[in-house]
Parts: sequence; C-alpha cells; structure tokens
Amino acid sequence: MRKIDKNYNVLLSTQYKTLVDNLESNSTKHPLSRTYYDDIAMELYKCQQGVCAYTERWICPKELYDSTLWVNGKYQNEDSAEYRRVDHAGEMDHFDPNLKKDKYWLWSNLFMIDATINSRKSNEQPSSFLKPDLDDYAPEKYFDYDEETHRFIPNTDIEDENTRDEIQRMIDNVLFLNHGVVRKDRENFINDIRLKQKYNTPYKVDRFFTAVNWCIELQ
Amino acid sequence: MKISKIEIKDFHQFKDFSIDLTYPKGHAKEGQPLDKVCFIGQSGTGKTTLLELIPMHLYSHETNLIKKSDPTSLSKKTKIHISYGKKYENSFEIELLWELNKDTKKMRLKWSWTNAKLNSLEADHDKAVEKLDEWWLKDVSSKMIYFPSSLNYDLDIENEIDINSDDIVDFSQQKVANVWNLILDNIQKYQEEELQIRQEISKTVEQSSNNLETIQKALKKLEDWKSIEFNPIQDVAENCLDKLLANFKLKVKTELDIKTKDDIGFIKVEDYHKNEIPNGLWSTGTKQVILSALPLYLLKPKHTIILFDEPERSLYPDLQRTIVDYYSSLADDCQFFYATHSPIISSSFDPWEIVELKFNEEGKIYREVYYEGENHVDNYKWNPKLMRWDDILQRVFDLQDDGSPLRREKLNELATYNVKYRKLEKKGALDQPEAKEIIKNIEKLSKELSSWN
Repeated sequence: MRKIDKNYNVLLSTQYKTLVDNLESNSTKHPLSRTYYDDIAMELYKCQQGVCAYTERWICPKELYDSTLWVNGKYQNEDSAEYRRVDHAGEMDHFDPNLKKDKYWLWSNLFMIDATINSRKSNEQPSSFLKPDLDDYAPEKYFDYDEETHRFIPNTDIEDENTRDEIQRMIDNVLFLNHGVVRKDRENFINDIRLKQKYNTPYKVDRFFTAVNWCIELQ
Repeated sequence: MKISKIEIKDFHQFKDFSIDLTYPKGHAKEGQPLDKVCFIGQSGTGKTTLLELIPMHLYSHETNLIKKSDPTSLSKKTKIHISYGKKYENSFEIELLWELNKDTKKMRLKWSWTNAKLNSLEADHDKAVEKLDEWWLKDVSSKMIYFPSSLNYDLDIENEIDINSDDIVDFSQQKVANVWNLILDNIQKYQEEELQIRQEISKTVEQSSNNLETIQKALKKLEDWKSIEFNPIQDVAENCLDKLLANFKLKVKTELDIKTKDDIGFIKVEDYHKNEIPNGLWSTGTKQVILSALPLYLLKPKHTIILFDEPERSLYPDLQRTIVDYYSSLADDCQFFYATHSPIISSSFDPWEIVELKFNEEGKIYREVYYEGENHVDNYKWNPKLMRWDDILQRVFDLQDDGSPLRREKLNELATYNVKYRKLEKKGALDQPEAKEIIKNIEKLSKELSSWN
C-alpha cells in the first residue's frame, strides 16, 4: 500500500545476500530449499514495520524481527523463545509470479502479506505500477480513500476509465484492500485514534498507515 | 465425569494435536473441565471424529464413524484426560493404541489407564478403577448420550427395546423414538386409571340421572384424581416440549383416546385448534426438536458427557439461539460437546469453550486460539456472546466478505461519489450542477444500502 523502502545493500542476512548475488552473477536458477525463508521474511517485516505490504494489517510482532536475532549474517530464533519464528500471520508473496520459476528468492520481488489475503489472491499479479518499492510509487497517485465508508477507490482524478477499472480490480480481487474484515479493522483503528485524540489520551499508529494519513491529522 | 484434555499423536488429519478443555485463568472455575465445548471448523477438520473418539476411549464403544475408520490408522497413542468427583478430585488418563496381536496376527485395540489420582493424590491403579466403577459410574452418573448429525427420524417405536441396554445411549445406532419406552408403562397406567374413573361416571349418570349432586360428585372425583395424579404426557408437554413447539404453533396432545399400550404409539402433536398433526406430516424441524429434547428430558442425564453433532439441523435461526442453553437446563452437571457449522449456535458459548479447528499448510489440523499472550479470560480477542451475527460469521467462521458482489459494487459507487463530493467541496464548487447530481446519487445509494448497515 504505502511506499516501502527495501534497501538491498543494508540487509542483515548477509549469508542469503551472498547466495543470491552468486546465483545472479552466474545466471543460475534459484534452489527451492527454504534455508533462508525466515531470513527473508524477517528482513521484509523490518522494511514493512510488521504490516502486510498491501492491506497494512498488523501481522508480525516487532520482537520477531529485532536486529539482535541476526548472528553472523543469519537469522536465528529458537523455537523455545517467547516469540517463535512461526508466530506471525503473514506469507511470502512473489509480486511477479513468473519470476518464481528461476528467481524464487529474488529480494526485489518479495513482500510479506496477510496469509488470508494470499490464499484469496492465489497467483493473481498486481499491476506493475502498484509495486510498493518502486522509486516513483506513491499510493495517492492511484488511490483515494472515502472516510465515510472506509473504502479505497481508484483516484477519481484519473481520466482513463480502463486504468480506473484496473485499479478497482486490484483493490477488490488482488490486493483485497476493502475486504470485509480488513476494512472493518481499519475503520475501527481509525475511529479508535479519533476517540483517543478527542479525549487527549496517548495512541500509537502501527498499522493502516496510508488510511490514517488520509483521514487524521496526527498530533 | 468430564474431559479436561485430548491428545492425538497421529490419527487421520491429526498430528501432534492437543487441546486443553479447562477454564482459563481469571475464571471462577479456573483449571476445572469446561461444562460445554463447541467444535467448529471447515468440513473435514475432524469435528465428528473428535466427538466419536470420546466414547471409543471411555467405553470402548464404537460409533458408526469409528466402525468405518481404518483401525490401523490409529498407529500412535491418543489420550484423553478425565476427572470426576464433586471437585474433580479424581482423575485418569486413558490411552488408546492399535497394536498387532502376535497370536491372531490381527490388529486389536489396547487401552491403558495411567496417572490415576484419588483426592488429587497419586493412587493405586486398581483402587482408582474400582472407585470409578463401583461408585461413580454405578451410583452417581448416568450413561453418556450421543446425538449424531443425522438422527433416525423414524417415529415407530419398538416396544421391546431397552434404550439403556448398551454402554452408552448411542442414537447413531438406535432409534431416538425408543426413548418413549421409558415412560410408556406409566402412560398406560395413567390412561387405564382415567378410563376406569370415566366408566364410573358413566355408570353414575346412568343410575342416578336425576340426582345432579351425585353426578357432580362423580365428576369431582375425576377432577381431584387429575389434580393429584402424575400425568407423564402432561409432564413432557409442560416441562419439556411445549415451549419449543410453540415456535411452530404446535403443542403436545395431552387428551388421548386410547385403550391399550399399542394404541399409544409415539408422542402426539396438535395445533392450537386441537387438530392432531399425524406423525407422518411433522416437519423435519419439529422432528429434530422433539427427538433432541425429549431424550434429554426422559433420560435425565447427570454427571455424564453428552455429544451433539450438528444440533442446528433443520432449525430456523431463532430457535438455534436458544437450544444450547435449553439442553443444558435439561441435564444435571453434564459436559456437553457440540460440533457445529452454525454461527448462531456458537453464540451460546464463551470464547474459551470454542475449539476452532483449522488446516495448516501441510493439511494437518491445529486449534486456532482466540487469546493473545497468556490464556486468561481478559486476553480473549472476541466473544461470540457479545458479537453481532455478521461479526461472528466474519471473524469466528472466517466468512470475511461483507456480502454479495453486488453489494460490494454499490459500496464502491457510493465511496466514489463521496470522494468526488469532497473534492468539489475543497474547490468551493458545490454550487455546480455536477455536485447536485452527486448528492442525488449519494442519497439514492445510501437509501439502498444504509438500512442494512
């Protein structure tokens, strides 16, 4: 949803990075072994601040991607830890599913998204201009937000009807931005912040960043 | 006797599966076995299997499903923890394992009763078994009851069948209507006595047709007899069925014209104008209600376990809201296990009483927990008893959409008009004809949608 900064050069998972760099420089097909799955997932959560890259639902506690969990360039978390490596609600999404075949672990193609959304999305590919880590990506360019119904819609200033239809299809069937419980959780979260602002009590914005920015002047 | 934990090492879709069935911290009954449990989950997640493993463990009783299962698939131990006593001070763990009998070369089931405790202290195995058999099962508790999802709706009773003859009362293998046998003798006795008094009245009228006082006296005798004599059918009507049948504008027919036991048959039902509804014309909902509530009322279950698979079958939502509490009221300190697909049934349960079964990525079953952090009553995310029906559907039953695709389309349209209106407002252009058109559309769409929001 919002722009995500995924700087490849500062990854803590240097072992994973070395592997992929070697594979790429030798134009070798990526292996399917999941040796670095947790490394990548947690690095992504770090970039995404623990929320789904599309819906911005909160899906991972920050304790799981704390920098201290990387030792010698490898993510390590014992199953006996208070927060186990599986205690998150996300799944890895390959933005361009066509890259799965040869470049399965390519950093720039990966995002963590809400598992329930992933199972609905299946292999549908988001429109390329909606890739959240593109340099010129900004949600305001493509979306509007209605504060009454708490729904995202295609930006009404986009004149081309086909583009608007495409974005609407993305919202409804690929990114699931207005999906029942997602929309409801977002509405509740925004109303809760409004209430806390009204009564001057502390609040924290740790999810639904884009919609919050649209609706609320943060104090 | 109540179950506090079920563990399945490897059986069908269950692998390293374990569910705690006790009240959480912060609850008045913390640590005690739950009074009722509700299994929910997609078809194939093993709700019925869990129900039917219970009589298998406790009484080596094979229900229909277990009979059809491949016994060798129970290759590793399953274990059920039970406790009983006024404060659940006595307990056991019952392990079940299929193993090869070396002599016959056939698979056989092996039970082991382990970790016996009496008065919360470790106890000799034989003494503990003796106490369970000779005290609890013999004198205190009644038999376990199982209601499968498809009850046998045949209403012809078999007079010679004793419903209590098996280890458990298993309605997957016998007709529910046979519970009527439990009170059939009493009904006959009552009818015979009534008939006798009525004959006396006829005789009095015949002999003293001019003596009004004598006739009135004879009639008074019938009235007095009726007021003190226990009428088994009246009892079933008033204390069990009429409040449920009222939903269908029906009631139990209590005035019967019968002479012999064979005339009595099964319970009779009539409408509010006293027209009897022949048994063959009862709706499936009527049958479901009568055949579920009546056994509980007549068997008078106490301190035992009652299993109900899909209790919502054929019942309209308003009735589903009430039946779980109603069934509880018919039993004395029993532990109920329900398996259901109904969000309305689930709204009768506290969140710690719900066991939601889900498939993991490998297709194995896990329980989705509803609390965050410690298992404490204050840490539960949602409570079906406090939620709207649509919230229960969306969050507990994972039907996450808002409604139909058409509703979504209309909501998208409404959101678009709202945003367009606000943009015009920002530009100070609300006096433009476009703004008026937008307002008209917002009003129209709001009318279509808002009454349901």
